[in-house]
Amino acid sequence: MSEILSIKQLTKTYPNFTLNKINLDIPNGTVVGLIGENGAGKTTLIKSILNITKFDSGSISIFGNDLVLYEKIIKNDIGVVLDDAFFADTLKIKDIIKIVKHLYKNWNQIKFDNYLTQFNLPKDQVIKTFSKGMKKKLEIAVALSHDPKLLILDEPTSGLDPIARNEILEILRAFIQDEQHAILISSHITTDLEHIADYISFINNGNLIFTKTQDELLGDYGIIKCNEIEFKQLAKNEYIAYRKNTYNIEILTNVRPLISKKYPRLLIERPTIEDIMMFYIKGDK
Amino acid sequence: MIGLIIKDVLNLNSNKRIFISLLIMFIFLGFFDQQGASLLSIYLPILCLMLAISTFSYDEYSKWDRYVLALPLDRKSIVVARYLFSMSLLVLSYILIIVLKLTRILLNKSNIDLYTILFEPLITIFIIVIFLAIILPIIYKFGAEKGRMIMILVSVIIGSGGFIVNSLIDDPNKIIDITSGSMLFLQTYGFYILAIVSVIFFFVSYRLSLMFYAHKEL
Repeated sequence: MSEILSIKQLTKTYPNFTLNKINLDIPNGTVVGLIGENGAGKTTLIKSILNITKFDSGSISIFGNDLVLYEKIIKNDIGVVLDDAFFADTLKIKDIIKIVKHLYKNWNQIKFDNYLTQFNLPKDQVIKTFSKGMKKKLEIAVALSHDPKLLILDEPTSGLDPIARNEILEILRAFIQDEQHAILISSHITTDLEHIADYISFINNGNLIFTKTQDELLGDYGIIKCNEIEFKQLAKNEYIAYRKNTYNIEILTNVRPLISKKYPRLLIERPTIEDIMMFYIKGDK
Repeated sequence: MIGLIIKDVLNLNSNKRIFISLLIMFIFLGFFDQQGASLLSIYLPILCLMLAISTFSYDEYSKWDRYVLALPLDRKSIVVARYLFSMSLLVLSYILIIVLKLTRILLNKSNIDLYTILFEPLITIFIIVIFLAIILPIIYKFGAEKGRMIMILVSVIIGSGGFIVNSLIDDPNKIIDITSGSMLFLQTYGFYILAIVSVIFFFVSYRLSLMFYAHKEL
């Protein structure tokens, strides 16, 4: 399996924030979900991948080519949905067509028209009058209609109702049917990613904590619920973080099979991605 | 690049009512006011300046300035498109001024004076080019909002500079003597100097904008 996107040791420093030596690979045919709290570095990472922000060191290669050297060629095969950034909302879809067909070399008008019909989007209405869901669907339609191989989506489902969110996930599922495609999607709605992502990459405070498949996450991670005495029996390297409640202690472990074998009496629950994220960010170490 | 210019045209088009009413007002003034014809050659280029700058505000407001960097374009063509668009606006305004002046002459059956028709409007246009040349790199460096503030400041400085020079000319002590050799030189060659200065400003401005935009982070 070859990589569509490969990031090596990517570093970007701001006065009070550093995206620190990020390594991330996105293989063909996969969806990578980027999670992390606001300000953790998700958008900075995405902006670096698109060369909107110039990174300080490291390298990014997309479709096997260096991003900085082949930026223009590479971007012809990338579809983007950026959080909030789009055409002026005083334009109509028919205006956007006039513009965008000159911007992408392989703009596919038939495909775009199909999306408009599928999403029920009117060509003659200014975008300002669209609902948030309609606007997002339009952004995705524009991102998909030049036959991209890689989709990069920054918070595409934020602020949408569950129905619109599901519709968008459906579109993405259809896109990923092609084995030559890949998606990088950031979201703080972790349940959306549970539905679609093959890999989850967790970024916290500018550091990439892990990139794991959902199976690995669900197999390796567990939440132990126990009392103080049981907690004290655990070795430091057997858990990641813990949270003391009034009546018990919850502990996040990433060596669940080992714990079940070593302490068969302990109660271990399956965590959600959100649980894992919460423990890393808020839990005591 | 053509897509970017179309985008600017369509963005302005969505607010066409304001611009068209301003245009009609200027044309109306141009026809019915004695000084109107000259005013027209001042106001139209100023309107173009406003339009050119407002395209930046549109981009900033919709965060298009970030979106555009994700598209398959190099940063140079984004800057070139903006300069081309601004210049096209000025060329259009020049053509419009000439057409209006000619129409006025034909309607009044007055004499055709090629100098006032062809060269007089160019004076304002060159000044606007210099103005744009100053403001565009500033916008690329600091963004449209701060750029607008700086533009107001520059206008005030140029305006008050003009006022001071004007009052010095009118001064009975003849601090600036318009019959002096240097003033005569300016009267003869001023137009050409202005033309050359505006071209130089334009190219320096373009290089500066390219430099600022190449390092811009959005």
